[in-house]
Amino acid sequence: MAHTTAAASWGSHTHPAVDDLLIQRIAEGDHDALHTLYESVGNNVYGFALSITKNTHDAEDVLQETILSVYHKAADYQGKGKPMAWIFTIARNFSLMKLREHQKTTSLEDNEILNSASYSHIDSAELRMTLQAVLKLLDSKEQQIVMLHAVEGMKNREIAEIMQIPLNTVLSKYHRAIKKLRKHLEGQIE
Amino acid sequence: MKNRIETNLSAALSQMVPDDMYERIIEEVDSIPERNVTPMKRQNQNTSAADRTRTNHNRPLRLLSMAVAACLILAVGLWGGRYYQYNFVADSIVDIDVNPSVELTTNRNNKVLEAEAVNEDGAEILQELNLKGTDLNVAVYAVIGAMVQNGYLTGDDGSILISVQNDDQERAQTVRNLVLSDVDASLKSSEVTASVLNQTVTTTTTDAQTFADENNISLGKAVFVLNLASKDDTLDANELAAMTLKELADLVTERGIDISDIVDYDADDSIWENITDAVEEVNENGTTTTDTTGLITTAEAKEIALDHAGIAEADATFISAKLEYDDGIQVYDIEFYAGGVEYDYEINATTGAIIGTEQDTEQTTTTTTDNTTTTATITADEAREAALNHAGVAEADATFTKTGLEYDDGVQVYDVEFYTTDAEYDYNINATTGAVVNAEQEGRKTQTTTTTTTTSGDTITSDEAKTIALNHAGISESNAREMEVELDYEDGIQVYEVEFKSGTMEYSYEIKAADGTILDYEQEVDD
Repeated sequence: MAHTTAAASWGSHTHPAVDDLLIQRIAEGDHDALHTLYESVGNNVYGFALSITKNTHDAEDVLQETILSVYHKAADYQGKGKPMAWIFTIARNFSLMKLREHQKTTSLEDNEILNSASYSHIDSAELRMTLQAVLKLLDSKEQQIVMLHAVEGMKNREIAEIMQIPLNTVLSKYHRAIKKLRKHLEGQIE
Repeated sequence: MKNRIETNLSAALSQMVPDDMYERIIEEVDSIPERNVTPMKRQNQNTSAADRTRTNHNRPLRLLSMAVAACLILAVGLWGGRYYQYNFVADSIVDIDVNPSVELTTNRNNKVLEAEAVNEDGAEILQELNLKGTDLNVAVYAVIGAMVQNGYLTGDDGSILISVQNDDQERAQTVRNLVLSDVDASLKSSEVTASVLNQTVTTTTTDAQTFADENNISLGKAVFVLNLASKDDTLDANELAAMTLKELADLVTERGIDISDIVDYDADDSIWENITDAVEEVNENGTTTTDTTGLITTAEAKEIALDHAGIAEADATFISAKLEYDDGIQVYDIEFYAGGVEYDYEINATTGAIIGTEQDTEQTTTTTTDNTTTTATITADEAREAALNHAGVAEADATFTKTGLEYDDGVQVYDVEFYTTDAEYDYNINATTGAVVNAEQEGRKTQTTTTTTTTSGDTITSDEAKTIALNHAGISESNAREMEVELDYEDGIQVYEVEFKSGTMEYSYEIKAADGTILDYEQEVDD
């Protein structure tokens, strides 16, 4: 199937692991809960940060800062049933902070940290190509949307909220991005 | 529903993240002393994320924030005198974090007592500004303006974190709302938009108390030491704690540190006498705080409140649970939400008796990561309801894309945006009265309401867009399947995106809504 219909993708994701209760447990200092959170969203926070910072070291920092921040701020979290939007908004802010730090010191063009060596940890060619395609083929907004969309339980509405762009833009950019990726990857995989 | 690309992407990312990342995080979690305390203390110390981050790397800054807490204790515990409270004494701490981070300390009259840079970029911002003694609104305006000028806030993707610290939650909210409107005004005049996150932070005596306990010194000395350390970056609070009062006085004299703002200074007395008096006064007024044994725990206080309210813990969202003095009695102030109602309990910390209880159905949520301010008298839900009623749309048919509090010509309004399958709506609802200030509706097939101002008069309908696409593709509607028509904005132009499949092909069209021109089309084999 080329793409899902919009209606099918709204609200169809549910993720039992990350909910207000989990945040509440983290607020109570429950390390198991923190670990569950990390296991559920850690990779995606990293990916989302990578799509903004284009730098693996920064993405690691952002992941660390985001999880710590969730831990420290969990007691302040106002349960509104949208922990994902909350967590990724924190990640976005840290990422943008990193980006600004670099804009001060280096121009983005010289940012060569994301070279082929960055992907050397990935043992499967298919996985490596997929990530490379996302980071090379898509513009930053498209990357962010795809990274967020890949989060289990993330709703398009929440993506729109995190990125502060209209829902329709999320949907259309997402469709376009996936189409672009398919076209590119079709020839290479399988 | 994840497709293969996303599944692969997630798998690839999991191999990118260092294996020991979680261990590193947990190490960090465990390395922060105040994290090892009971949940009660942690909840009391809800300092900002920015503070926390700094805390992790920079001990002096952590002490600074503790000193700030201490300052507040001095303000409340020591001097009832209006003169001090209103002029020299720190009332609120306003943190403005972009990347440059700036901290403004204000008095009760919202005058800036101190403007401090929290990082190097912040120093750059403050370099060109002289904010001491100015009104808070002037200072905020100037700081944001300077951040824009120096290129830290550009275009529309910036974000600003505003944190207001004040022991008095109500006061913290008032100050925060003031600051937010100033930030807003400054951004507007600079023609920059940014997301403004905000939070209020309450501090408690726990910080100074913890510090006192850790160093085996009196609370009074702890307060003074923390205040002193905050005045001079080269001073380490822990080292100061080990010094005698006389040694401290000598140090103050030697370095020429002005302590008139941290102690109730009497010019006739020596510095040493002044310090001794200040320390004694805190100890006299605050001796009972050194003994928390025999008190019920925060968890117990919460339980008492929940029991009384008849609410299960799982249904409640705690706003705050703090130990306070009320007429010399230690009480827990427990605040929580449940079912849209705000509960506020005061519970005697010794006996567990409920001293006071309040319920408020009006939501005045203090959101920590929300760009809404909370002075509005109607809730976001009510604003949405008003918009839906006006539009004649059932809630189930609407998808909300935005509900935010904004200022429109100085009036607080909710900007409510939603769409249905065939139209997009944008409402401004007066946040005080609930009246519809402005209504826009776009892209609706048939006009059902006449009161809305609509810009859709000249656009084609989604049906027409569909027909244009089908005609171009040479496919009859009956042969097309999985038809999707979406109205979107492309570079400010309204565009219908028409997608459908026929046979083994997939078609995608972009059609200008204004005149039906095909802007872009794609055909590809459906995989």
